[in-house]
Amino acid sequence: MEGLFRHKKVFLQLLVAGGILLLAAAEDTGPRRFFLKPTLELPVDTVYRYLVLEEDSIPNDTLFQLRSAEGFPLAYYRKINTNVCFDGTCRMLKVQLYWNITGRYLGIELPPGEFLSKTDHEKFNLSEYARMNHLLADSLSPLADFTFEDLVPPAGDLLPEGAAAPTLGNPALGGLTADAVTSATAPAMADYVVAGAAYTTYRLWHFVYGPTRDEIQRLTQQSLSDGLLVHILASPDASDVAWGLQRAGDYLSSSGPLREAVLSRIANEDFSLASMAIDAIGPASLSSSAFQQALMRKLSGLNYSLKNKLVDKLGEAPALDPEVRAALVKSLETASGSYLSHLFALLLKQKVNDAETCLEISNLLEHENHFVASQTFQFLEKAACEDEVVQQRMNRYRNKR
Amino acid sequence: MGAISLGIAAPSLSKGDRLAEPYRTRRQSLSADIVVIGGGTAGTIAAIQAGRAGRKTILIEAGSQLGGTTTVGGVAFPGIFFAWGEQIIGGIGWELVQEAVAMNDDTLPNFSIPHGRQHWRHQVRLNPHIYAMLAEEKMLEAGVDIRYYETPFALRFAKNRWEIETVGKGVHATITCNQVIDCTGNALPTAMAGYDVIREEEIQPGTLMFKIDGYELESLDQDLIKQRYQEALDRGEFTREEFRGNIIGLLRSQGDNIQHIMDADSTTSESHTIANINGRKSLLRHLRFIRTLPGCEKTKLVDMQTETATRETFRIDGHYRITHEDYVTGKKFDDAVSYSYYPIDLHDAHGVIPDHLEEGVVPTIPLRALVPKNSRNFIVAGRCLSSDRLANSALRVQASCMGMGQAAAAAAVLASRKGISPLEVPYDELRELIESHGGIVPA
Ligand SMILES: Cc1cc2nc3c(=O)[nH]c(=O)nc-3n(C[C@H](O)[C@H](O)[C@H](O)COP(=O)(O)OP(=O)(O)OC[C@H]3O[C@@H](n4cnc5c(N)ncnc54)[C@H](O)[C@@H]3O)c2cc1C
Repeated sequence: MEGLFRHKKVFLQLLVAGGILLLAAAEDTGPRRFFLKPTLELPVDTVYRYLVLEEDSIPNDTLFQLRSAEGFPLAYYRKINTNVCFDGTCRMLKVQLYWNITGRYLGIELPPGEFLSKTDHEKFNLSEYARMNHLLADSLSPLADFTFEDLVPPAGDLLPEGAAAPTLGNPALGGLTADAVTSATAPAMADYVVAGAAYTTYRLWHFVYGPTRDEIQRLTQQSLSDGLLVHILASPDASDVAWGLQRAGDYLSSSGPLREAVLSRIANEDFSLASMAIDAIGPASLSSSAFQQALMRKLSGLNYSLKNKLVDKLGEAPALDPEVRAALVKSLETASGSYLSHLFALLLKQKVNDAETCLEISNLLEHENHFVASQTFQFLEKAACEDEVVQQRMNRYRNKR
Repeated sequence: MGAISLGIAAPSLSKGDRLAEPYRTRRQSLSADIVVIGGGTAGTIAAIQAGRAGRKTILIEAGSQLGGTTTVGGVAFPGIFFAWGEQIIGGIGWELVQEAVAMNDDTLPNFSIPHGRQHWRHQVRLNPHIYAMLAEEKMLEAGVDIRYYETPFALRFAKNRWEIETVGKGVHATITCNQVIDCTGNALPTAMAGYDVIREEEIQPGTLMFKIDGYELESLDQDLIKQRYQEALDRGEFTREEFRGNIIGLLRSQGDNIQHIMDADSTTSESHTIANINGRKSLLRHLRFIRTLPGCEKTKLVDMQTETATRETFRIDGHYRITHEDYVTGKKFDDAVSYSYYPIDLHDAHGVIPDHLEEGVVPTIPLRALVPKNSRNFIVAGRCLSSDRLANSALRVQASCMGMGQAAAAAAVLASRKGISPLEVPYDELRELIESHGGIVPA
């Protein structure tokens, strides 16, 4: 279910001096925000509400989506009310948790007067808020795999009377909660929680990476367009770029800014992003000669791992551009190891077996490196080149072996 | 009488049976440019590199397939190929890993996201069977003569050539070659050749990898199980070392890299037999015990490796010994041939607490650490490289072994072309050869 209300042009200025956090208002006088950098920094125009049907441990069932005037989603948030207890006394904690449009954690907003607290309900100081932000942003945190019991040493640290220690995957995560135990956090886990607030960290982390995150990604995906993807691929956050590249395939036409954005990611600096960029390219883009040539220009500067991947990708082209084909055949002369094998595999896939090319390739049968010669022979055999001179050369090779 | 005894001696042959010739060990004489001994993590890469660079190469492997600890040992999660966002181990090892991942529809970790203190996030989970088959295909394609079930028992060096005597099932071969690459992990051929090797008094434990299933961890009464285990430990039914005293850890991991077999040494058939038997005995005892626990009565052993994998045995005494200090400071050697990257990772009876490298540090491996002192035409790759114990605990990991394998083979290729020893190979040519096959040489 979806609802909508218009916001007065609030700038999504959730950010951050020095890229880390912004304290938007003085303590206890207004909402306080601790935010990371979002993908898109545009004014908020409208706020949509979505009823989150999938039940998770957040009692409030509304997911809010902030959008720009262009209709781009900018961020999401949920209002969270949860009990934090110490020595049997509990207080209700109210926070708004924000997510970036790609599903990563974005920040926390605390209503006026609200605060995060540690053992004995002591208020967080600024550096503890910063640390909480840092810990919540860690999608790979071991908090994912650990039960709450792992956070605390086995003996002595009892939960408040009547409270069962919640465990990962236990839907009873809601309910009475405790940071009473956190003064004695297990040493291995101390790196992943705010000291004195192990349970709060644990619980917020699991909110952030719970089912809401999937829902957010689904909603952003519904609003995806070439334009939005171009913004996402320009994000300084590598996980945003990865998110965008993994979804760019369906929007990638053979020209335009999105194509340029994807091409620019095919570079040695970041193997994972470059691989994803190559994976995003489909046959529709590859049918363009200009696009193939752009890929070919990339090839020479790439490291070995990416080179092979790009060659395999060119192999998927519906038809190889003649210039690209000639350049690939030429590169056989100096290719070695698996690059040579990948080049031959591409030529086979593209059914290259004209006499002229086969004749050129058959020179390699005389190569001093027997691996190069045998790879060449195997190619010529599989390609079934019928040229007579090529056949003679192959026979000579066969007899020499 | 004579006729009767003849009748008893002659086996009765059914149709299609054939009486074998009287047994004779098959003697063979073979020659090659390069012999790689041990087709494990490092040796697989070394042999493929040597073959692809055009040298006549023979691989001797005591087991039945390629991959060693990666496949037979079941440690099918090689690491670490990327450090601080950059690829540091590439080449043939990476090629194999990528292809194995693709063929099993697995996904590579996103190396753009730093692993933080969880370095295992950047290890690549593989299907070891696919890996072993791809490795074999590539090795054959590179023209390498693979000899499984064979092991050397003598190495002699004369007139710039090695003579290696090997024994296998019904085979006794004499192989002459110009260069030897010892990739056995245990440096046994190095010792056979007469060079010094070193072992710690107490070595890191080995591990038998297995998989158990058939219980719901979340619904078990973990306190009761811990108590029952403690009682069994107190009665002396188990030792704490076997599963680090942590029965819940065993149940949670389902057998993945959790067992510890003290003093496991794979160097000789005898020591490896003991390590294997100890691993299996320990597992069987635990399996019997687990099946008595409430909620675990139906526990099944789903899979088990055929060997106890070993972490540490002998290391060579090389021209340079990489120290812990070298490793953690990321010392850049003039003759660096490969990177290595891993936390210091020394296992003991209590488990392991990895000691992470500081941001930006990427250690390197000098060629001299792969060459035994006083040796000629001889080089090693893999966990037996020359290093102190702490440095070795990080250097031994698989990506590093693969990088070493490629570099050692490239050095042997050039040495064999020029009729010299690996340490005499011009460094620029070595770099060029490694890089032309996709390997990454420290800048
Ligand atoms: C339990 C365990 C967990 C580990 N965890 C990790 C991890 O998480 N990540 C990681 O990257 N690394 C890990 N390692 C380390 C890494 O797997 C090994 O150090 C590495 O695989 C060793 O490679 P190698 O080539 O030196 O030896 P091996 O891979 O062991 O290869 C040696 C080969 O030589 C053969 N051989 C031995 N002796 C002879 C002989 N006399 N004649 C003929 N052939 C012989 C063997 O059969 C074998 O095939 C782990 C190791 C263990 C044991």
